[in-house]
Amino acid sequence: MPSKKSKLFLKHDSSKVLPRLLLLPGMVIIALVFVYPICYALLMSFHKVNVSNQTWSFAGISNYIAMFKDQYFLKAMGVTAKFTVLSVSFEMVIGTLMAVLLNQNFKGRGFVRGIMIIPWALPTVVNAIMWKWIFNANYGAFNALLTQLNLIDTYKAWLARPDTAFNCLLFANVWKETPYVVLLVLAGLQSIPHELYEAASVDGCGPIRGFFKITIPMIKQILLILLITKTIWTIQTYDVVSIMTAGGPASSTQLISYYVQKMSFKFFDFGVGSAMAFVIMLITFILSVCYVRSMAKNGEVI
Amino acid sequence: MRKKNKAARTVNWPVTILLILGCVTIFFPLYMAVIIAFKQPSEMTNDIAGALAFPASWSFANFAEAMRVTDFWRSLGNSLLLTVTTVVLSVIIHGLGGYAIGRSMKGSKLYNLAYLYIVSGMFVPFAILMMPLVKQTAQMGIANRFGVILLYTVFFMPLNLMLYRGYLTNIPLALEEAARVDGATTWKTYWSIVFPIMKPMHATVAVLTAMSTWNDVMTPLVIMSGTGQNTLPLAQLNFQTQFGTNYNLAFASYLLALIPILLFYIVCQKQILNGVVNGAVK
Repeated sequence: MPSKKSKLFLKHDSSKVLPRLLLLPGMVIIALVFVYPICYALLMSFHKVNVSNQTWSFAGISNYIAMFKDQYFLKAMGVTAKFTVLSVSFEMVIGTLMAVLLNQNFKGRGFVRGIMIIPWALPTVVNAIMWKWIFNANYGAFNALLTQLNLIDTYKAWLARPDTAFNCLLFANVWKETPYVVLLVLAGLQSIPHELYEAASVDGCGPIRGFFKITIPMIKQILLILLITKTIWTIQTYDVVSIMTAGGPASSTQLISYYVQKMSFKFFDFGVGSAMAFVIMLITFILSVCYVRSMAKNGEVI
Repeated sequence: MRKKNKAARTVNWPVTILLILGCVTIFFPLYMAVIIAFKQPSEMTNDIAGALAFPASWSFANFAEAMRVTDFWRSLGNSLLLTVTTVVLSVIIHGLGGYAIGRSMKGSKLYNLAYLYIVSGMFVPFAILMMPLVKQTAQMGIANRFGVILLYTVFFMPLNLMLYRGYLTNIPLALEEAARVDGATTWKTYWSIVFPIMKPMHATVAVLTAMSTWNDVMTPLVIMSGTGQNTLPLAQLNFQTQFGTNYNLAFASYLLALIPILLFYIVCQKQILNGVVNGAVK
C-alpha cells in the first residue's frame, strides 16, 4: 500500500497519475447520480413522508409490509414477470429467425434490412401512440382489418378488455423491440466463417441441424448479452403502458415501473413508492448477477 | 457459387414468404400513420379499404397546424441541443474514462473496482432514481436542460465505458509504447494516437447515445417539467393528452417528430449498422 501511495505522488510518472485523476470526477458524479439517490430512496423507504410540509417520520418496515399487502403491487409484479418473459422470448426467437433469414443471399437484401430496422429508430412515445390508434375501438385499423377478413362481426374495444389489452401491449412492445435483436444477431452472424456450414453439409448436416449445432453456439455470447439487457429494459418498460392503457383495464397491464411512478407522483406515497423501487432494483440486480455468472461459466466475461 | 445458388433455390419460397410477412408487419403501421397525417377528419372511414386509400389531396395543412400547436421549432432546437451536447460529451468523457480504466485494469484492484462500480450503474432502474433526482436537481438549481444533459452523460456512462474498454482490449499496446518512448505524455498519446484508433467505437457510442437521448421522454419529463421547455417526444406526449381526438393532426405531429431521426437513420444507416456491429462483436 505505501509503495502505491508514493507512486501516486511521483510527479514524473504521469502515466500513473493522469488516469487516476481522470477517474475522479466521473466517480464523484456517478456517486451523485446513482449512489446518492439509491441511499436516499433506501432511507425514504423506511419513513412516512408527509408531502404537504416535507417532513419525514420514521416508520420502520411498515412501508415494506404495506407493499406486500398491497394486492395491486403483487398483481403488478405478476403482470411484469409475465410481460418480461413473453416479451423477451418473442423478441429473441423472432429476432434470431429474422436475422438468419436476412443473412441469406437474395435480391434487395439491403433494402429489406433497412426497413426491418426502422421500428428501432421510432421514439417509444410515437410507437405507443401509433398502436393505441391501431387498436382503437372506433376507428382502429386492426378492427377494420379483422372485419374485412370476416374474422369478427362487430368492432371490439381491444384496449378496454383485460385479456386483449395485455396482448396488444405485448405486441406493440415486441414490434418495436425485435429489430434491435435482429441488428445484433445479424452482426454476430457475420463472424461465423462460411466454411463451418460447408464442412457440416459435407457431413450430411441439414440447415435446421446446422442452425442449432453451429449458428446458435457461435452467437451464444451475443444472445446472452441481449438476454441481459433486454430483460433489464423490459422490466423497466414505462412509456408504452402509460400511453396505451395507463395500466388498465382492471390493472391487467399495470407494469411495475408504471405502478411505482403512480404510487409516488399520483398517490404521493413516496415511502411505499421507494420501497417498491428498491425491490425492483434488487430483482434486476439478482437477475443480472445470475446472467453474468452463467456467462462466466461459459468462459466469457463481459 | 454453384452451391449457394442451389441453396437459394431450395429455401426460396418459405424464406420469401416469411420476409414479405415481416416487411408487411413492419410497413403496415408506418404506412397508416403517413396516410392519416395527410387526410382530413371527414375522410376517415371505418373500412379497411378506406383506411388504406390515399388521401383526396396531398395537403400539408395538418403539418403546418401541428407545427404551430406543438411549437415545433423550439422543441426541435431543444432536442438537438440535448442530443448533440450529450453525444459530444459522451465521446470525450467516456472515451477518456474507457482508456484510463481499460488500460490500467490489468493487475490493479483499484481499477477493477472502479470499473465494476461504474458498470453496475447499468442495472439501476430509473424508477428508483427518479424521485431523489427530481429533488436533487431542483435543490442544485439544475432542473433544466443543463441538468438533463448532465444526467444523460452519467446514465450512458456504464454502457459506453464498457464498449470503449472492450474495444481497447483488442488494440495492441505497441503504438502507445512507441509514442511514450518518443517522449509523448499520456495526455498527448491519448489524443494523437488512441483517440483516432477508437474511431469505429466513437461511431458506435455516438449512434447508440444519440438514439437513446433523442427518443427518451422520462428524463426531460420529470426533470425539466418546470421550465416550460419541450423536447420533440415530450411535445408529442403533451399533444396526445391535449388533442388526442384529432387523429389527423396528431399523426402529422408524430411524423414531424419522426422525420429528423429518420433522416439521421437513412443518412447514417451504414454507420449505424457497422457501429452497432462493432459494439456487439468487439
